Amino acid sequence: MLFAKSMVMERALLDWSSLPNTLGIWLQSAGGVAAFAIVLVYLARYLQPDARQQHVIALPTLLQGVVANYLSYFLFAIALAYGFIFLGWIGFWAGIGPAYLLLPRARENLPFTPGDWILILAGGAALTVAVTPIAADLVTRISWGRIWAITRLSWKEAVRGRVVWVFGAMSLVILFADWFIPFKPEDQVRNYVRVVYWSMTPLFLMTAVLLGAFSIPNDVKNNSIHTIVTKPVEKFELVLGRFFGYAALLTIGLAVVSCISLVYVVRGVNEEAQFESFKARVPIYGNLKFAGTQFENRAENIGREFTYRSYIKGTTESRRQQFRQFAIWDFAEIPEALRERVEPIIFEFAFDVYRLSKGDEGEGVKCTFTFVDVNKFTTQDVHRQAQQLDQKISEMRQKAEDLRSKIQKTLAEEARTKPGDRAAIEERKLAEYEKIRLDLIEEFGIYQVGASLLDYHTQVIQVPPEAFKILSKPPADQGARAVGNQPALRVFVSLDVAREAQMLGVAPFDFYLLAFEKPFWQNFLKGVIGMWCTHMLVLGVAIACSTYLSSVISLLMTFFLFLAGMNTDYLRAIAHGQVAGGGPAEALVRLSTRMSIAGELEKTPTTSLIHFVDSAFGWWINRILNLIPDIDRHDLNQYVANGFDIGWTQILFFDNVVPLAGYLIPWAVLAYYLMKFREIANPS
Amino acid sequence: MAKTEVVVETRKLTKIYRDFWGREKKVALRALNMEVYRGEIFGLLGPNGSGKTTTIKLLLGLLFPTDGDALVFNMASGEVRKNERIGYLPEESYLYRFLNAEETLDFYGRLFKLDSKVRQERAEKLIETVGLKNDKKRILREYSKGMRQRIGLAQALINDPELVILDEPTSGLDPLGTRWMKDYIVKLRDEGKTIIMCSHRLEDVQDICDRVAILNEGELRKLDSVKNLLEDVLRLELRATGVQLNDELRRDLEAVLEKHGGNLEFIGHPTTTLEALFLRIIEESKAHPGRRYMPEVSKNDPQPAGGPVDAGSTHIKN
Repeated sequence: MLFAKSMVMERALLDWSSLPNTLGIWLQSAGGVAAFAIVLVYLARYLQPDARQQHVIALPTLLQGVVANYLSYFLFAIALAYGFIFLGWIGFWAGIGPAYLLLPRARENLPFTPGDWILILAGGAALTVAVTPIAADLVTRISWGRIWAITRLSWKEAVRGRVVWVFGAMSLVILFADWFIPFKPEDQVRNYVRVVYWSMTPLFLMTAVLLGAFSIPNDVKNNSIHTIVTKPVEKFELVLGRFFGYAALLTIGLAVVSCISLVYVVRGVNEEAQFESFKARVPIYGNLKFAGTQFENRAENIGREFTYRSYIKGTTESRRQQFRQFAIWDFAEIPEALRERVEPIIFEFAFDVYRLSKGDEGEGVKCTFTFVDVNKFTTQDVHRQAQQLDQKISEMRQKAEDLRSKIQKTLAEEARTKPGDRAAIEERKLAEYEKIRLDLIEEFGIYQVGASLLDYHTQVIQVPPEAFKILSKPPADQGARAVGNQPALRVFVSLDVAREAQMLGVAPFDFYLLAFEKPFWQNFLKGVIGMWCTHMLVLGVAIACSTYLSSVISLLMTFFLFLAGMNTDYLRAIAHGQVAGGGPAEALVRLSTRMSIAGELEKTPTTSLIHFVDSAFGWWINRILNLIPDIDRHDLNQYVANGFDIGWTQILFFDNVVPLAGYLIPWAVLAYYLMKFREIANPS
Repeated sequence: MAKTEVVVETRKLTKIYRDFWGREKKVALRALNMEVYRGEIFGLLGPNGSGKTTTIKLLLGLLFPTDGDALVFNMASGEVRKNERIGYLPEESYLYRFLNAEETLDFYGRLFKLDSKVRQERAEKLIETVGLKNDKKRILREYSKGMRQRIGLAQALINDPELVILDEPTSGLDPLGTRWMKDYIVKLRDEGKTIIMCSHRLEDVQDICDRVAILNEGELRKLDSVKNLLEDVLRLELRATGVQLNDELRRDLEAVLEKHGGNLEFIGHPTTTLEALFLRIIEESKAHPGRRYMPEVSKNDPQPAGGPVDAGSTHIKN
């Protein structure tokens, strides 16, 4: 769901701090798959009727001697670990107290339990068993020279098979899309970007999936593979060579088409739209919390299905005594360069106004942004700070009033004695007023600015650089008053007292400090890197599938995973227990008892059991979800379309490249074994 | 020279194809025991489905044995390193048809990690040897079957292998191509390479193989040298020159044979093979281009318009 000139980010981006958690989840999921695969291999080995075939698929004997022994110990440890978890479940069911410690956490945002750590260690061990033969092969057998030869072959095959002509289809978009793109300045860049991205995506995706799914099966079908694997070629080299060859083709094709598309966008957008949207904002986001609401992490629910935003209420003149609600953004750190800036500091916001009454026509909803230095409060508690805010502001205003009147009196006296110096006196008065303002900001640690909110539009407020410098002073400058773990800057947002109540919808990324702006073209090309990640993901999955499945089945399998990856929201909601009416067990109870989804279940042992079953179900769904590619993650077009910079480190590296690698590595391991264990020749 | 160094050895090599449920579908090869010695041409003979190609695929590691062992250079057939010393020509030349001859050999040379200079030299030499010098820039899609078989052989030799495995090397070739291929295989043997070839063209095997294994329905039926296999000790062959066949000679010979307890079964002038005749005619036509064959025209046959063409000539017209 997108709003005009604002961006919706429904999930937090991965970064350094989330890496341990992500790595833990990855080890649990990928390691779980590896452990499952090991069980399958042993089962197949056991069921295999031919003695000679058993030797071929004996996993640990792929390596000799000591390493094989170590792997056997690992296998034992894995079995032990999963056995523990199983015992934990049994114990929990049987009501044995400490058994719950062996259960994994219910949600991914909770800390790891001992059960999680066991799963992580077991997953790590299973992955070690699976990856050790590959690592040994990579070091001792795999030749990058041969991979390069197959890469070149794949490249030539695709080019001489006129695959590149497919990319020429983009010229149709470039020739005719202009007819359909609206010329409204505030939408033009967004529309151009979306048309270009949404045209490029299917074009390249289809190419990637077709190349990937048909390459190795065609080699097998045409028996060309016989002339390759009868050379000193490891079968996995063929997989890697095919992947790199097609990846190179797609990368170069995408680079060329993207550059042409960029020229098309730049040429097509009119000057007014360029001024409005040809930018890449570099925002600094704060953490959102609430005061005056029932929960600290969310405000009121107004009944909208889309729960991305929650809403704070404004007070009315008739109910002023009611405690006010605040949306509070904490900025943990402020870069030094921003503090030293001489131009006004820009904050941007795009809130949703939810009107409880009609209000005045053409009038926005008034709200106030209060920038505070938390060290100037006597309490660290954000709720108490919110309560003190009004009192401090009124004290500050009173003091300002007093000081100004004092200055006014002094200057009035001077004006009487020196009537000719009116201009100089006026100038001095302004300077004195400014000094008072800054002194009071320094003393109280508060700066306020008001705004009239328009629905769904990005708006700007400016903070004078002197005030910003004072308020965002780092703790070291503040001596004994510095308080640990406190943000560098805190902003309270509240609706002004009005005649009629209104509500304001806010989400964490709705308000940000605009650090600086970067060129649009850079951002456009960075967005293409996200698209490239999707192509690589699809290509990798298709090639991995094709190492065992036929071309058509590989194609369908890849499509299935891709489409599933685009529609994981509901499954994710089930996994996280966010579906109204609960999980399948609870839903079954509600269905059978004809109970509405809004009603709460009675607190009985049966209800506890139902919740336990649902949470276990959710945990499994979550594991399965981790096997499905997160396609939306790589869709960066809304950053480009809405003019937000795509950061190299956080967005591109941590949130795109790292998950891509994390997803493709298990597929590569799978492809290695499928190729190793398959007979290349067909019965003849 | 006694050939004792074993290059290929199979011990009770068995391949059974099974269905999805593990039930036996077909026994492609059953307990094959054989040895191939260095420097010989070893033929695998048998009708379709006898297990020749399965044996080769098992030796190359393209199939996994159900039971038994296949050792090549004393390494298990699944061992990739053994391929460094092997050249393989599949039955059909399954090469990449979008490459030309030079690129094909360059690609396979790279798979052996040959130095670029060596790769280039070998490719040039092999292209010349297999007679594709004038076509080396054409992509393989445009090649005839014979040309593809030649470039297929070239790719099998790019690594200068010790063991060359040829699956139906003369399949689809014309007599000239067949002769060239057979001569070249013998030349490879003379250079010290070991050759394993399978074919169902018996004359090819008879012409060039040193030893032959005959397979049928997946089982080894006979294994010996061609000479031993073909020699019929119960019959005697006599060849003579400088004498014409007549009744007196026939009677004299019958008398001699009767004296020694034998019977004359046949006496007559030897005939050549069709292949030899064909090759001689082609050689002559190359030596005398433009000389056409004109059939003898009977006086009773209708004359072509414009009168008889060179009437009175015999078989060959200069």
